[in-house]
Amino acid sequence: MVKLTLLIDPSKCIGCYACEVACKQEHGLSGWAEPFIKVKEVRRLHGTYVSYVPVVCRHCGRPPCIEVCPTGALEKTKEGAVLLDVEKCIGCGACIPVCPFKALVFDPEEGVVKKCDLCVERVKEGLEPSCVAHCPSSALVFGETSSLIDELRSKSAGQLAK
Amino acid sequence: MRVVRSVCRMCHGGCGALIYVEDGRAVRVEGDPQHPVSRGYMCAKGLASIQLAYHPDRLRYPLKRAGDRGGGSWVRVSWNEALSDIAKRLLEIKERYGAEAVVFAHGTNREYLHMVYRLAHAFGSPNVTSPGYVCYYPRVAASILTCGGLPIADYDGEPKCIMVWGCNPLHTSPDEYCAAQLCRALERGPKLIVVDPRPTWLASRADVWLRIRPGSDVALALGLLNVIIEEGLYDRGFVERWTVGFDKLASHVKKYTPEKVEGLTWVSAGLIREAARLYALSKPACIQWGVKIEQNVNCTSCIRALVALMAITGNLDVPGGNVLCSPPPVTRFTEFMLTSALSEEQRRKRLGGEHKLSSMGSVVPPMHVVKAILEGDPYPVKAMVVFGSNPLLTWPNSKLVKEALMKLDFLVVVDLFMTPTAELADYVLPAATWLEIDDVAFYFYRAGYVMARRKAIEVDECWPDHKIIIELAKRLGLRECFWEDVEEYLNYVLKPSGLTWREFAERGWLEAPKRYRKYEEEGFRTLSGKVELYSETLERMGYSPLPDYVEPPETPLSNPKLAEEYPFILTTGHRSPAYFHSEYRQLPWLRSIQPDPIVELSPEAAKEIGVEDGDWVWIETPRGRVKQRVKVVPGMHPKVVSAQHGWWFPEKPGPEHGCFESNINVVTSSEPPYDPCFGAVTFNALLCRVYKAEG
Repeated sequence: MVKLTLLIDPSKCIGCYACEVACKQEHGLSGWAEPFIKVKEVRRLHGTYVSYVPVVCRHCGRPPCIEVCPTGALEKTKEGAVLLDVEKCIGCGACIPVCPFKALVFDPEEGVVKKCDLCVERVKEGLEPSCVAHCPSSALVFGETSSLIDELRSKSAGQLAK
Repeated sequence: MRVVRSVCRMCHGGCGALIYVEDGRAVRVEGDPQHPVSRGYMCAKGLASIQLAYHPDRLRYPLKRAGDRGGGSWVRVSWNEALSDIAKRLLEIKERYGAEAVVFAHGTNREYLHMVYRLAHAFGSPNVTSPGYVCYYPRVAASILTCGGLPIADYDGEPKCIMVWGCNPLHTSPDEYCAAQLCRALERGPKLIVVDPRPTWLASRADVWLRIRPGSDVALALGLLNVIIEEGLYDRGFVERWTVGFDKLASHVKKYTPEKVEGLTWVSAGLIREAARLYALSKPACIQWGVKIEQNVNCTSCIRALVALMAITGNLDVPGGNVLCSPPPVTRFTEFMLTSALSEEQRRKRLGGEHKLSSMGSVVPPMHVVKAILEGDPYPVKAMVVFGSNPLLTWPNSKLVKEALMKLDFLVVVDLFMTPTAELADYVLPAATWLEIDDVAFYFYRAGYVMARRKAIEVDECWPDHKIIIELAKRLGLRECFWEDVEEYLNYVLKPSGLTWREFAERGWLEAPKRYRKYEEEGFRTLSGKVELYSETLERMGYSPLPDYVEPPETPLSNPKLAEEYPFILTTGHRSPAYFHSEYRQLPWLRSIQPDPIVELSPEAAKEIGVEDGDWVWIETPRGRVKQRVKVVPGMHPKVVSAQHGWWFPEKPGPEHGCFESNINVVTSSEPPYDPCFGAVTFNALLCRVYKAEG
């Protein structure tokens, strides 16, 4: 089974917020609903005055949200995504505080929790998740976990060799 | 599902867009990976286009004022009724006061703007006002005068050093650039110099960040020229063969030593030397300049000093430097604008004609319009027709602007929403968004491209601006200067290319071939055929032939007494990735990114005035005060505050919609001195005080 990953490199994030709007559009999040990916501005980080960090579900290896979900609405797929079945969700919100990334969003209109699904529908069509497709600075990258790791390794090796 | 390949226009508009349409309704807008410049990039604004097109508050049919001006009572009328009555009223005013009593206005780089000029000129009015006096047009005109064209940063040519000056192009795509180009260029690891009073993401990561005192840009540029010339870092071969007046420039900048410039710019002499050497010795190097260099009394000089930097370092028209692109084969703007239709007599009546370079380009600085309306000086202005502009927010000294608009006999506003300016109109006409328009998009014109914008949807009775102009022209009896419909107009624009609109739309874009070092064969397109570091043309017109520094009127150096009362330096108009000037505050997808107007100040300043991040403060100048929300920004100079512009609150009740609460132009000045050539006012160097506001 091919594992897929959404890789985040905050050092490249320029704070344009395109990912947030791309996410809202893709998931039809109306009005003021929060997007599943959020850009956090951090002032004074590692010697820089301003940095931005995109925060989104990391599709954890051992997802705490799944452990606390009383109805089994959350599950981890073989490809590595943590998906939420809205039909099973009762909106209890138990998953929200246990997420270290605050990546689960309660939708008060529908009374359920919503989250990043790695744009499964787009990926099926051969497209990248919308946030990745519209990230201008490659702060968000999507692909096969193994090849992304290979790339990272060779990049780090290249930097060490310099 | 149908996919329409088009070109976005949420900002000036050039990025390729794919519009997904289902049952006649646009459901999604995404970046177009096949677009030659944006290559799939689409910013937050572009991605929110659907919310703009289908916003419940959009104007959907023509409205006629029913009660007092600004009273908020309207009746729905038909297009024919509206346009016929507008034409009748404009002709009456022309008959009684002369055509010059009707002023036409347009907003920032609207792609129909040349048609607004055509309409005014055919009607007989020399008066078209626009942001052109402080935005982009000075760069175009002063560059043409100096080196025969607008020098564009050549990102595709792989610059080894990029100097970003007076803009934040990662958060907005300015002029003929797309933010993605700079992102791609940065991937290659060039040296980076940033000239900006704000510690932006780019400034934070620059090799050299020059934290300039707002408004002193030209002093810094002259200091860089001083170092490069004194240390012999310039390109001798190019200077000897291709410039005019180098010796005069060299002796002129002698006095701008880094030590002197440090006193003017608050940038250390050491950093000035470092930046000068880095820019001059990294080959090729480009300058990415922005609107802030134009927004004070030194507008012309600053542009010319930066072109001089490009020239003497041998970076003009070389790969990776600043290039002079040939335009694609479409009808030339001068023909398009029908300037020839205007009699010499009418031309001489152009308001603000003393700013000769603006006037040569038919640009009228708006404060001259305000003066003519209020004081009848030099003659009364009685009517305005405004296309895609919100003068109450974007012209200096907003309260005076309101007084002027209230005094008009007749005001027509064409817009997407009922803006604070539209609220004061006699007629409000509903314009189409970019999703509803067939058009030739000019955004990348000076970078060598025109693009096809294609209509994907229709929304109620909203009309594209060019259709409104054509239909109004017919009713003004100007049919012979115009076209039957939009398609005929588009064919006219494309005529030199040999393509019809339909063929062009199929093709997507037109591109002019890119050639470097054209001067080697043709010279520069100036009077002398060379780069005119010293301009005899400017001298003959009575202007300074060399770039010089004048202290802006309201600074601690020029007015220390006022600075005791108003201790902070205020620069206005820093950009948000969510907005385009006064637009989009009503779109939740964008407003949620930044719900409130932001004023940035240093931790030291915050402590001094006793405020914290998120507090509301009053920003006060001798003109008045407005409220914005504090963002404490480490790295800002303790004496500098940076406020946003364009803020009104569509959710607040009309007719004002809160347009005097946070709108920074309430506190800017429309008084002289102006930049002599263009009439630019000072938006980037004012004195203010800042103190805590409740709520």
